[in-house]
Amino acid sequence: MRTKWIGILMSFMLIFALAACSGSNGAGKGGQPANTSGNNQPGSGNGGGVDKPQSGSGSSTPKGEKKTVVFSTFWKDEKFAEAKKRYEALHPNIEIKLEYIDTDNEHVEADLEKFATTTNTAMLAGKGPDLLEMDKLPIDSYVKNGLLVDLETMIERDQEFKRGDYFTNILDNAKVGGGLYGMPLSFFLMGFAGDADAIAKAGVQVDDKSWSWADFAQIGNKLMKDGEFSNVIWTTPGSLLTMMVTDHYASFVDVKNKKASFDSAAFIAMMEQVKKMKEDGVIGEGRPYFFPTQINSAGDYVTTMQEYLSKNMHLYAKPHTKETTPGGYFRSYRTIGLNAKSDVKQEAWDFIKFMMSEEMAYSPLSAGFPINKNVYAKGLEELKKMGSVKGHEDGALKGAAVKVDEARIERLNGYVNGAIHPVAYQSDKIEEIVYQETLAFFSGQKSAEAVAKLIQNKATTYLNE
Amino acid sequence: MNKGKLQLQRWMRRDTAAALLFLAPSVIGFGIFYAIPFLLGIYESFTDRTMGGAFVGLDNYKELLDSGSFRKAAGNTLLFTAVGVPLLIVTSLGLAMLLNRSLYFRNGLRTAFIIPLVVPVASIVMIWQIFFDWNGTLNAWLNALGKERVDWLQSDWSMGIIVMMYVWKNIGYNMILFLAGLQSIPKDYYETARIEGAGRLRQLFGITLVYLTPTLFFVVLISVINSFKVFRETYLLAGDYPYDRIYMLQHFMNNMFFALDIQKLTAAATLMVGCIVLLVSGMLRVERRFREDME
Repeated sequence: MRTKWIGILMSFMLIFALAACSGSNGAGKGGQPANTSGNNQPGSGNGGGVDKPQSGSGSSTPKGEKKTVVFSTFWKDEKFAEAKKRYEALHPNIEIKLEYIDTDNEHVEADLEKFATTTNTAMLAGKGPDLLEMDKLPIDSYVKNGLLVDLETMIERDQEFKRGDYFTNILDNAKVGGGLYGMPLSFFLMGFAGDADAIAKAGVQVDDKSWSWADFAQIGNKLMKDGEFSNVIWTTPGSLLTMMVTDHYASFVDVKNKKASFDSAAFIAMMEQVKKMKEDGVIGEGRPYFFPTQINSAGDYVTTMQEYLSKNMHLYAKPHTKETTPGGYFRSYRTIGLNAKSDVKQEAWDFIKFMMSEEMAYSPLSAGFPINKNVYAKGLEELKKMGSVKGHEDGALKGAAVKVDEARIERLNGYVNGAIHPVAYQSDKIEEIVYQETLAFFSGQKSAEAVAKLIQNKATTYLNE
Repeated sequence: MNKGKLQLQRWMRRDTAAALLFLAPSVIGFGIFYAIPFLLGIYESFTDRTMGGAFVGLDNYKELLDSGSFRKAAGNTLLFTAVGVPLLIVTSLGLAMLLNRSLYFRNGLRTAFIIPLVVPVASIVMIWQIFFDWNGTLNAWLNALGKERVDWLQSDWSMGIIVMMYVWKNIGYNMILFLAGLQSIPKDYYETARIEGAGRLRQLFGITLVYLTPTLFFVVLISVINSFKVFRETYLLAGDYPYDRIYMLQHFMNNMFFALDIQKLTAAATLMVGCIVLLVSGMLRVERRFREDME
């Protein structure tokens, strides 16, 4: 009798536990539409995962019926909202559904992780949005799993698409795994802001088109000897070493054979070299000749260059290895991927093209150089018309206006057209490992050999997974 | 006689039905949340692409076994289990035997050893991290003593630390199980043994260990399974790419998950489960044989 009661009790407990499980599950499901309806502010036109099957059924319906392209981004982006509005006005039978995460500063990291995991899962399950902003997503893994369309195939089939209208130096070099799986709608320039006057005064010639890290080290020594400033570059040894490793990636990492050679004499010598730079004052935060910088837009170029200590700051390309072709560095921004499982590929591609076109409003002050050359040129005209750009309120300029200088803009053109080395939007795992582990070396706590061995171990593990 | 047999059968039938009814919720839950996803996972491990990939046979397994990192992870996990489990068993058994006697403050001590089970791991890991970090407390002490500091989590010491953590976390639970086992051994056996003139050691091996064997089997089983679960602590302590020595199977799987390599992930999970099932069924068989011998 007693055991029977216990049995009944136990099963009730189980039922309760299960009910609790499914209950919380249901609550989660219930929460989602509430959340998306919260996003559904006027103008943003945000749909939810719930409506997604519509896009699927849209393709099977006869012509003339409304089709839906779902476009998922992490941030809420005015630019995309604007694009949606304009595009829908021109194409009444297409609806662009923008999906994004409502996040705030405190939750960015957690939301970012959630965004990546849910998008990854949806993509792997063959659902997922039609278009995705890839900036915060692991594009390499997507390509490996065949989740994205190679946009080159869309370009080939598209008679209207004129390559010449775009910055082909960016298009050609934004490829991943042999194809253009993400369309960079815009990009940033990465380089050094250098004090041209002070460098000239020290009697040093800098040919930034083709300078290598060895040249940089040499120039650094010369500047230290003959120049008046206390440092050459404003950075930390860890960041500089990481930059150098990224540039010499192929000589340390053999991705194909899954071999790392961080325990080599070359890497140890590189570590020692950077440490010596620190000790000699080449790297330092006193008054340097160069600052590593990222130029976000033409307007940003005008002001940022003035925000450093000197009046005549020039943009210099970052040094690179002797083996690579000379040219500057860029970082893609607003890279759009097209879901390989999408039912509305043609429509989605058309929308991508629209976002790249001259129909999009562009301000030379907004973040990102546009991929479209004509849009860029128009922006420069506008910038020249403005005559001056207001500096950042909380920057060194304290909101003071900076005059737009024609000669400077001309120089910018060279860099925009000459940027051919992509810098990944997110740092690579190996770069992260190198940066983390060398901290103890640069602070003098560990020997170069010990640190190199650790990096070698972890990099090998990473490569062999 | 015949009538009785019939009744028995009917009763059995009724009981089976009731049992099945009562079991259904848990079976459904287990099926939906564990068994079915796992079976799907096994299927995935034989295909070349997530959802609707082509069947590729054992290719994923071959690739998995070719992966140096997987072999390293498997080796580390085995080593950890081989070192951690015996150590845990010996310490918790010793502790249980100690606390089985009348001891001053016995109840307080018993509670103290169970606390690690209840404390959230994350809060504890934080303290361990501060303690063992390269610039942490322990190294500060070493420095003050004028000794070379050791990078505890980035050297072969790291395995020792993880073993320590594992023992600390599981010792209380095992101790309770052993205490229950010890208390079920009749006191007369010991008395008789003492009258017969058996020493302490003889009592330990002749009575305690023999009658504790069923408990021992269970505890070893649970400890082995828990040793595979030490990932959470290691991950919190040393991140996704820890030092070579403490790179466990679950690190491999976790990293595969984030690299979206579901094929390798499911293949690794299937292999691991296969090994655990083999181990467990082997142990259960030994136990059954042992019990038959006892009877």
